[in-house]
Amino acid sequence: MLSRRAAVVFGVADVLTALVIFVGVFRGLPSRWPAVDVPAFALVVGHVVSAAGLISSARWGRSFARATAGAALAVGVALATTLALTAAWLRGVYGPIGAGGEVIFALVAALVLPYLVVLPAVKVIWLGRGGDGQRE
Amino acid sequence: MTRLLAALGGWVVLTALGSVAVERAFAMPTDGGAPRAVVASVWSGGELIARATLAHPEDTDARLEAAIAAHPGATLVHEDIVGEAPVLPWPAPAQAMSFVPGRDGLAVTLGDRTEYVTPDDLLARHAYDMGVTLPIVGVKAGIDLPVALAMLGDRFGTSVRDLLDRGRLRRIRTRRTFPGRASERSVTADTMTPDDAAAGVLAAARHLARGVDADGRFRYRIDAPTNRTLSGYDWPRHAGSTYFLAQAAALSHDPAVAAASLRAAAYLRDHATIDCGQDQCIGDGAVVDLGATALAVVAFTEIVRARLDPAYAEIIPRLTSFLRAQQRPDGELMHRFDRGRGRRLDVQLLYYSGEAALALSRAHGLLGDPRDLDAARRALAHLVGPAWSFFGSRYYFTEEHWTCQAMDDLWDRAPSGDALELCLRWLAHDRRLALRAEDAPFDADGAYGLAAVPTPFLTPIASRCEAAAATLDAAQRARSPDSVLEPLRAQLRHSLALLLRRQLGPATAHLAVDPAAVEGAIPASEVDWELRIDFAQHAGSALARWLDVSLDASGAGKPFRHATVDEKRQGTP
Repeated sequence: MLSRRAAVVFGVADVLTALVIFVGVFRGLPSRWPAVDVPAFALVVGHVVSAAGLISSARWGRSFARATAGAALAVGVALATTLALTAAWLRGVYGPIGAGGEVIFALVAALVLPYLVVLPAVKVIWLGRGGDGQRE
Repeated sequence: MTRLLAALGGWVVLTALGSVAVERAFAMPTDGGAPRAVVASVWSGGELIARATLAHPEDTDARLEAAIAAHPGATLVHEDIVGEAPVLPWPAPAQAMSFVPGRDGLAVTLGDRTEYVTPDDLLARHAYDMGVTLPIVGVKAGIDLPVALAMLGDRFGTSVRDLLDRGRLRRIRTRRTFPGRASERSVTADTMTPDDAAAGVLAAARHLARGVDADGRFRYRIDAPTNRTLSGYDWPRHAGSTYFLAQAAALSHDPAVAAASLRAAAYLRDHATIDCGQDQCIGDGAVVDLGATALAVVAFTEIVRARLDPAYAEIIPRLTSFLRAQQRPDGELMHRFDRGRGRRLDVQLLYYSGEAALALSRAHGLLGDPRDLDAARRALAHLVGPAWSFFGSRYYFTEEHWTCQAMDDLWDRAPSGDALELCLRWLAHDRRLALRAEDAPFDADGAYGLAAVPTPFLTPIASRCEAAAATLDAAQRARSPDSVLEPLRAQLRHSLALLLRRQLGPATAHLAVDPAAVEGAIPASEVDWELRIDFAQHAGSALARWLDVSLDASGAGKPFRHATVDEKRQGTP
């Protein structure tokens, strides 16, 4: 069983992640593009439902949270890969793109990696165990 | 857990290796020596008359010879291909952004035939920085690929679809030369002289002067390659350009520039001076903005100071009375006036408060009305105090070029240490964002920006130069240490040299239908050749102010021989 403390911590983290994705994509980005908006919306909904399931100790909560974390991890890995390759391509075509360009990419990566790679990976690992470090 | 961590570790390594591979695959090693091929073109009146691909720069081609013989005055241009690299076939935005603006063209090979769309072709068609809108920063980048492909389709005599299906598309890097013509000296921060700046001022002023019609109205916007006049007009920019013409006339004593300045001023006086309540203002609508009146005062003051027409001194008090009436008790100005209702509208727009502060200061310098000095001082105090005081204001700035000019103009009569400090801080902030030659593949030494993908717009650079020259002037008079002055001087030299390099002249004349009509103009950017009167005004004014500030009071080394710096400063009637 997942401990109550871990469930609450992951639940709160899910709410925060949903908020960050919502603000980053639907408030931060200036135009709408289904290729970004649809996965982002799905992740927001997934994280909110996951948080509800974990905090309310629903029977489906843990498995749903793990699936959501897996999806977020897949999106995060794809996004980080795309960002890295885009930056490399821009450097190839334009040569130096200015210190500011590098800062922008670093900032975006710093936003993506914690919420969409590191946290989902920790969740996938933690929730795959019996709870608090014990494999089921 | 181990498997997931191992997978993530593998992903990090693969992504790093993939990034290196992608960068290398799309990088373009350029040849320092002989070109791979030479695209030789004959241009006449902005039109491509003949083209041949040569193996070596010294080769000739009968078609080129015939075209030159048939078109006296035509220009032979060589675009040496010094590098070649692949282009992403998909997606379209990435394909459009695969070309460095002003440097890269396209090559398409179909069967055993290769055709080129060169940077000159793309410049003449206004096709750079037109491909993809980058909404986050509000600019466009990349080439207009449909235009480029249509040109190639014409040359192959086939459809664009066929080109895309069967052709091999690459990007090429070219270097432009003019056979038989001595290479032009490139103005840099290190080599720029007062003569360069003076020539730049005069060329910009003559370009604007040519566009002032008999009534005194400017050609407000021009498409430089076609010399087509575009729509639109703006009174503040009319007034600002009139100011610059008077400034240039005072420096150069060029009769055509002086005459154009007077025609433009007369147009303001006779066609745009209207009643605003009990005062007079500049505009033509039911609701007028403050900026046109402010810059008209600056222009009229300069006309009187330059001794072009002392009669304008009589108009100035009626306009400054309007400016003062628009001022709030805290020093801020109300930027609009509703003529129908006789109401002042307490809204604030970009630039106008700084313009009003400068106008009131200049008017006081000329006519000595203490109410103007008090209003200018209070406006400046508000601009550099409450108007820009919030958490984070040390890291974020608005456009302060008029503020800094007002600060400098007031320095001898109402010095503001706070204003000087703000201007120095703003310019130091911009220095952190300054691009140098090695930061961009195109000409960006002296530009400002976060990233060098689209080419920098030149007018923000020019207006920062106006601010920097004014700030340098005040800082020198405040006896600021060299540790403050030298970075400012270097900043100015880099940016002014960039403006001079980008001023339209012989290097780009072959791409214009009427080169004489646009000579001396400052385009929007290196690759966007739309002209607007304030582009030349800001650049020209900045160069003129730099001449003023950089030369010693004796006028030693002064490129314009007619007037000394002191004469200009003290040139009251």
